[in-house]
Amino acid sequence: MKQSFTISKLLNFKNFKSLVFDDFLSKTEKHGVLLVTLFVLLNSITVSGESFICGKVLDRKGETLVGANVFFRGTFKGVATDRNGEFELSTDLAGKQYLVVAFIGYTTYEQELNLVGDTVKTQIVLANEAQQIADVVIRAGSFEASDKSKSITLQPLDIVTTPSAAGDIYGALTTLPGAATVGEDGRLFVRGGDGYETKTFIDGLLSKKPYNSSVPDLPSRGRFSPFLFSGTTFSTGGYSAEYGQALSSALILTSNGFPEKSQTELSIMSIGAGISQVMKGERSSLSLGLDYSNLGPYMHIAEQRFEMSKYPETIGASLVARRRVGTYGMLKIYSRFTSARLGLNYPNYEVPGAFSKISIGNQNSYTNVSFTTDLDNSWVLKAGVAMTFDFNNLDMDSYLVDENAKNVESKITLSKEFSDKVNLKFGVAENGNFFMQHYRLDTSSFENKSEFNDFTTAAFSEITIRPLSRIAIKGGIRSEYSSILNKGNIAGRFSGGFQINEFSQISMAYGNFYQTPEENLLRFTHDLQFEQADHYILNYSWERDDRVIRVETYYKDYKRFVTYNGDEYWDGTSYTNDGDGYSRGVDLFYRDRKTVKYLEYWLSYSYVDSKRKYRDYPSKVTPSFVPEHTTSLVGKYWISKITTQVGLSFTLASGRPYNNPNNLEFMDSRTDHYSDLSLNVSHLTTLFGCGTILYMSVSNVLGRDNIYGYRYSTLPNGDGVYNAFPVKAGSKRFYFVGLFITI
Amino acid sequence: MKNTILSVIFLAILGTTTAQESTFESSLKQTIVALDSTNKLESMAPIVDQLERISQMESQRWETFYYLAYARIRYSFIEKDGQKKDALLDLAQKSITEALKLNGDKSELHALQGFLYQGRISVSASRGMTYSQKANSELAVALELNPNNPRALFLMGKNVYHTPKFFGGGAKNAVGNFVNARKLFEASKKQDELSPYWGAIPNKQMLDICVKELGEI
Repeated sequence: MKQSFTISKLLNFKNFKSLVFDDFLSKTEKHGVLLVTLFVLLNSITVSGESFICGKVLDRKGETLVGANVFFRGTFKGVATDRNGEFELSTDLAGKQYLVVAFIGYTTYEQELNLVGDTVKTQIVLANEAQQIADVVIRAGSFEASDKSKSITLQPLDIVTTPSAAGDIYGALTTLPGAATVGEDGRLFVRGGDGYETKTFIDGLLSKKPYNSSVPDLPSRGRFSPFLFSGTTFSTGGYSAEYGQALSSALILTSNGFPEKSQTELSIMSIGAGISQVMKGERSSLSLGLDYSNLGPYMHIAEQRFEMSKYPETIGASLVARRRVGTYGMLKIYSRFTSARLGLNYPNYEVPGAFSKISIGNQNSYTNVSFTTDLDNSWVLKAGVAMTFDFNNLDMDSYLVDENAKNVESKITLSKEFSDKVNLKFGVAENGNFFMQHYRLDTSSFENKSEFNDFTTAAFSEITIRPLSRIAIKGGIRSEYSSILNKGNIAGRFSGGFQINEFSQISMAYGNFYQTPEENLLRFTHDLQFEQADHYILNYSWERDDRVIRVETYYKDYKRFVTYNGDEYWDGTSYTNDGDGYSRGVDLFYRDRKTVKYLEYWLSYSYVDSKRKYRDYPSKVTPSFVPEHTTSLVGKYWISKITTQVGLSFTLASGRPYNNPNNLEFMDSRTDHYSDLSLNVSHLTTLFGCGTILYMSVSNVLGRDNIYGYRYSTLPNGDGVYNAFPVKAGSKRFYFVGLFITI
Repeated sequence: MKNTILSVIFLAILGTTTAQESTFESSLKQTIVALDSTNKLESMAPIVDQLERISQMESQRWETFYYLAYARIRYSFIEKDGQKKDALLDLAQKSITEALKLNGDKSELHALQGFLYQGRISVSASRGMTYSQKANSELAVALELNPNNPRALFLMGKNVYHTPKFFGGGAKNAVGNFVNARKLFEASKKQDELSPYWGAIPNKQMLDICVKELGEI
């Protein structure tokens, strides 16, 4: 009883005094004689500076807000708006004062009032914070995954625990609509695009070699651990003018901020081990890591399709440093070095039963330094440099290929939020690309060396306008100049979002995307143009209570693909920008984290129709990396009793085209469909008092013999038939066990 | 009649003066008492409102941000709507960061951070894996900084209680934390009125649950 009295007394912010007055007034009505006294009293109070403020608090849709906190800046006294969104507040304050209105989910509003002891009527409209953060984000073409975003589609941990991904970022992204499963390659193939059409950016800067080096038929994996990033934006098209040089897709990764605490992380896996130490101070932190992997022991036990002459072995070292600068500024340094080697005996297609000895060695280093700071006048400055050094040595029987790739990208951007309605961003970037390939035959004096540098200068600017709270429009322009092509381009990017209601919205995007032809083409001629793709995207999304539906349809118009004569590929004069193509399709995505407690799952489906004439294609056909239909289901169920999460992913895709030289038509054959069921278990426990995750996964549980395509001998056999060799996974299943300990 | 008028005027004057002279400490103290004595959804918003007003007035005292965060975390546990829970915890997170900047009691603030992470789990069980570990490490830090922090011990007990028996959790493994926390709660004297002292009652509730489950300690 006493408690509730205290609360009501405290919480009855309708001001003790006004209650007394109400009481007083009702009494005076009964006793008219006292009216004079009342008048005097009121008057005296007015003279002493009492002001009354009454008003109404609404949101931008005109709906009343009940329970908003209304008070004067610098005072304890305040009231909450009633069920009509109305409030009354009296104060002794005089002169220039600020009335503050705060409500959860809305931007706090301050109104300047000049109090002279009278009654002020006001109406206050609060802006929805959620609208600013989530709803006005233009969703066309973009899948966002981050700790911060309200419109989360995937969290970083989701990537790690997707069974078919086996801990690889790119593997996890192939379970999203728009990305194709190309089992023999491992790169991201987006919406009918080739692997090279997707670029990876870390903290705004290019990562030139995001995949590890591999040999034919063994898929490559991403170089970077998913744990490094707090945010992932996977754009399947129509991305921002800030990024360029990718015809199809941009994967934009944001590295972690300041670490939460100092700790040691230890990983012991069936394929290797790693250790990292995080040291954290007040304003700076440093993390050093060392990892080693060797597939020898594993491949020794598990049957492999190829005979390995050198089991894949990688040694890596990494450094992550952070330093706070000023109040909001941060300097981030990330650096990783890896050295890897592998060798195998690959079937020789010309001589049945014979093998080619292939081995590859790779040294790679990537360093990314970025700096963000607030300037005095609320501009945000971001500057950074990223450097890639990559040395590859391939030994294929008697052919030796040395490839040195160096890439340096520097970039400066400035951005400012002028109001919650206008946001401006612009910047410049310079990319230096240095390529050297040395090709030689160790049995003869034949050799070929190609070496060239390309400097790409880019400038961009982008403006986002929200004329109404339910409409956002973004317009961007990007211009690039490539020194090797001696050509420039200007690209426009436009997108817009319209909120239909609280839960659903429509977005659209259009843009021009240019890409300098790849190094393996520039080796033979520099007399080329940018390849180009124009994107048209229409998106509908619905989001409510941990359920998300997305439907997206697109059209991608490819222009000026590089083509050449495949029989004489070394003849630079046959290289022209005569190719073209298109992709069109529909992507569907549904995610549910609500229906069943502890269960979350997502379902994606992609349909793509794509044809192109490019490289040495004699005609316009659907390329080998485009499956017409792809469906994926990823489900995770948390069993809290045993602190264990079990995961399942299932992918079913239609067969992909391949060219059978025994047929007259080019690329007229299709493989059988692809399917994969992968499972994993992550168990949370403590080991010697340390938080530990035990992780196990197995791919292709059902043991389906997926055939990715066929390779053929270059010459027909005695019967005039070209011999076919199926392209398959290196082993039927992949088992993985790992123990991750945090000390 | 005259007396009535006089008393009304007197009360009015008293109301004005107390409102004006009510200091930051007494105002905060009153609100804490209110917060301590309720667990009702409808009481939470006004308490948080009051703390919000106090914190904008006394923006140099870490305690105001501590209590603002604490109230919002408590609020989030009672609130049903998951999105609102998260919104409350987002705001609480800001206050904790603010209190740390003001050099507040680190052990208490890490304990509160652990409490906040436990609140995140109440939004969606699928977060259990991430956030129970996060809570655990925050509470460990809190206890390292001050092994006699009864709140850190109580919250740690809660973490252990919700961890399955098989992995060193459950009532049997948690009960020790609650017993020790009770001793610390009993022994702790308010250093000054504003330093955190909450927790004895929920600790007792958890202790009772454990005792009931185990039969006896």
